[in-house]
Amino acid sequence: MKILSRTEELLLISIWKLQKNAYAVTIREELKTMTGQIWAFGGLFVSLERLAKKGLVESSLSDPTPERGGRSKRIYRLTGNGLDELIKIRKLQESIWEQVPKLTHEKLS
Amino acid sequence: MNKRAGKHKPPGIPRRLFEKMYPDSGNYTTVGDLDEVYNNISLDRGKVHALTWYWWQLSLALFPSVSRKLYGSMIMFVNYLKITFRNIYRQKGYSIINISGLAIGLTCSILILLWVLNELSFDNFHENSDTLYIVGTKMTLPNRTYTGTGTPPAFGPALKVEYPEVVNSARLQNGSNRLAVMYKDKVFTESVRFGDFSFLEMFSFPLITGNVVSSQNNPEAIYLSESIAEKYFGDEDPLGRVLTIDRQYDFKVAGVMKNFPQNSVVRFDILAPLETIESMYNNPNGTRTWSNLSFITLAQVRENTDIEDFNTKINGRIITGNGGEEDVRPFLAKYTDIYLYGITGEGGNIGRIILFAIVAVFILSLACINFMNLSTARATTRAKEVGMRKVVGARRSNLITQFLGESLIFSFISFCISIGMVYFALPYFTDLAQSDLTIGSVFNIPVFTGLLMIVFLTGIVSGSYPAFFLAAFRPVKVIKGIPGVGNASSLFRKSLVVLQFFISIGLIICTLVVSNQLAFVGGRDLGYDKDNMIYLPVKGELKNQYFAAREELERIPGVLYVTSTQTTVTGVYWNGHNWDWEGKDENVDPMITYLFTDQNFAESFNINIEQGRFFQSEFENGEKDSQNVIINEAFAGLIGKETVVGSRIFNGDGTPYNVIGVIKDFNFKSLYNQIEPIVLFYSPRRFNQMYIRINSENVDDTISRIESVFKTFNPEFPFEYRFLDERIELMYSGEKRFGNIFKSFALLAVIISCLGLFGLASFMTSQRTKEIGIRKVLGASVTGVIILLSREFAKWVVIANVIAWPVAGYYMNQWLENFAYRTSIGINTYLIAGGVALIVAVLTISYQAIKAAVSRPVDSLRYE
Repeated sequence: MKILSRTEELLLISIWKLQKNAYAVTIREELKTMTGQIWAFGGLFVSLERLAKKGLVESSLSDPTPERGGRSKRIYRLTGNGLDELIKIRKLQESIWEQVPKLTHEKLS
Repeated sequence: MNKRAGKHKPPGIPRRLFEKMYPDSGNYTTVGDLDEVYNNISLDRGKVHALTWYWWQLSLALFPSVSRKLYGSMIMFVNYLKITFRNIYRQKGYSIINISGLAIGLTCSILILLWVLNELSFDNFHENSDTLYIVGTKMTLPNRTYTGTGTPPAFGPALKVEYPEVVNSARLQNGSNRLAVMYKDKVFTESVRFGDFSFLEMFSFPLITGNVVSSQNNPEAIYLSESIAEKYFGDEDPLGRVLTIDRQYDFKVAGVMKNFPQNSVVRFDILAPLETIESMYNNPNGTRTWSNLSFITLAQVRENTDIEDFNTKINGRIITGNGGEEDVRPFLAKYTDIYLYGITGEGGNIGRIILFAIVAVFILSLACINFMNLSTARATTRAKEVGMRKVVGARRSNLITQFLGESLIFSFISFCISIGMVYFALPYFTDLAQSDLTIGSVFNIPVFTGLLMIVFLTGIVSGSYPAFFLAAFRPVKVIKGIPGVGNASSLFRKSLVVLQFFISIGLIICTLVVSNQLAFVGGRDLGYDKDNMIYLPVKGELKNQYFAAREELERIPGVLYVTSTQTTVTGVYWNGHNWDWEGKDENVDPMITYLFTDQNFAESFNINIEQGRFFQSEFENGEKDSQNVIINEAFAGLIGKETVVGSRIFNGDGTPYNVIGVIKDFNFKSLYNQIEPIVLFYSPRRFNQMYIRINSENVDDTISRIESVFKTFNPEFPFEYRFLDERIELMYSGEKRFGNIFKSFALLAVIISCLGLFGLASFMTSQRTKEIGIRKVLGASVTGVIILLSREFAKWVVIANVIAWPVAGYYMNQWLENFAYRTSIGINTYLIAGGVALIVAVLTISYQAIKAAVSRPVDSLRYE
């Protein structure tokens, strides 16, 4: 199994979270609320592109919307593979965390 | 979020840049996304924030995008350069032909361009050039009209006083006077121009020292040019120094003018007040009269004057000429147009300028054609490269850029060489063209940019066809090596060669016709004997003691004849009309030219007397012959009677004259003109020119004896003489130069064409190496092969001949129409031009042909 990078993981999560409203602007905002960091559009697009190449994400152009000055959005969706991947990651993480002692500062002191 | 959507839009310029960099059709929807965020930011945090954010985004995006593009193109650019230089280096022969052809072509064009610019700049340096005009006059006679610049001297001041549109006016005497100018012990003969000093106010001939005074109030003021001031005063301050002119008139230097630029039509070194001529020529009313049309009037008008209106206004005015009967009307013509267009729109230099510009374009296009031909002919050698480039992803546009760039490099290399060539050719060219161009004039910004444009254009023109041709190759075909790739354009190439030779042959024909015409005119019988004749001005005491001086001179052993005239025999300009005689056709009123001379004239010039007698020497006091005149055959023809001797003719005033003799026609104006009727008067008081025929042996001795006689009569005047034949030579030197320039350009055209032909021939023969090998194996002879190879090229030259003959013939016949006496274009001219082109072409090819023909077939066939 290929391990996705953190960024890619976060992207997949936010696309899943946003469901049908996942496009560059909303994804960027979602990432900001999740991580507290502002992402550049460039970085966003490059990562999304990579995910699309791996077949985890697909996209389509929406109809032009007046709110964007007559420009269309590129809406991103998880593919079946993408969803599998996300599930796998989650399982992996949970299983890993289960095997670790509880994470507190007490032990250290 | 929807409610607040789309209220704010980002600024247009950066947004458009984004659109360029990331078009929506791609994977990204940057523009739309950025719009939305911009809108959100400006709603939440204000417009300033949004703007700064947006611009920041742009700057982030710009750098990588631009640098990536640049980097990519740099790689290709370096590659193109490398390939170009590799090709130049590897195919030295073709490169040399291409570059030298282009360099020669460019050199010609640069030289001609410099000359044309210089010609066009004539009189343009005057600050007031927009408001400066020259007064032209239209004289209407019963049967024809004359247009000229001769105005009566009274008109200049009247113009300024009577018409509010005219701000300033100045008169100049028509032509300069050769007068003795003396300062202390320095005496030289100088050209002195008489005129109003307002001339210096109107025209931009700046003074180095002194200032412009009024010539009316300062009749003793004089202005000198820098060079004259230095000649007479050296390092002394010239202001206020006294110069003596013509022995009697003292002038104080009021100012020193900068030397007149060579691109000024009016040029003189000494300007003296116009009023001087009243005393000098003993003509008290000379500058106030209305009846002498021999002054130039210049006018400066108020700005924004509608000159057409003004001309209709003054057209009603008759500025009366000599007898008061002529209809002479003035008009203003732009001063700056005179050099180019002449006063009437004819006789300007614009025709010559256009002609040479056309020649320059022709020669440059010959060089371009060479380039095109050789590049397309050698296309096969580049075909694989094109194929490879296409296979690895080059687009047509990339290839076109590459090949255009290549030809640009060629033309820039040629340009560098041609600058050097111009540097070395300029002295010869200025000598030919009689203008003081310097290499410095290449390096001023407008000229240099103009030249760069020409170079660029040359590169584009010569590279365009090869570029499109090469870029159109199909990779599969060329890489597989399907034959015939290079032959596709052979028809085009052939027509280009035909075009080249068409131009060359045309130029040769023009050159031949021009030089034939010059030889024809030059070889025309002047009607008098011009050899061993010296002439000099009659001045001072010589004028008063003419007969005594003549007697002294005739005693010198080497002197054969001495005679004098009022005007030089090469340009007799004194004339009049309204002459009358018995049986005159009332509908014609010919201009009759006047020549004042003495009794030795016919004998000295060896002009035959056809009827009657010449003035006779026994009437030395001139009284007897003062009412007698001699006419020429042309005049006698006009009178039309069997014997004209003894008949009476009347001048414009009705004064009767007896015709006592008819002399053979001789040429007293330009050889281009028909010989006009002339009347010879006996009038020894009017002599200005003395002609002395000397023996052709011991010329120096004779002349020094003549000088000593002059010194006894005129000790204070410099002794200056000239030979008449040299003077006549000089009169036609302009035409001769014109012919020489034309010859050199025609020669260059032929050289360039042959360079191209040489390259093409060597290429074609190399293509046919195997064919020749097989032919030889099968028994072809060397001559057979040579003929085979030459025939093809010869055919094109013959076709070019067929086209060039009628075209050049047509235009040259039109050109010849300008001359009263003209040669005809014989079949010889065509045959010579065609023959020269053909022979040179065949010689060019034959080198390659012979080389191919004598090579051993083994060498060409062994690789098979």
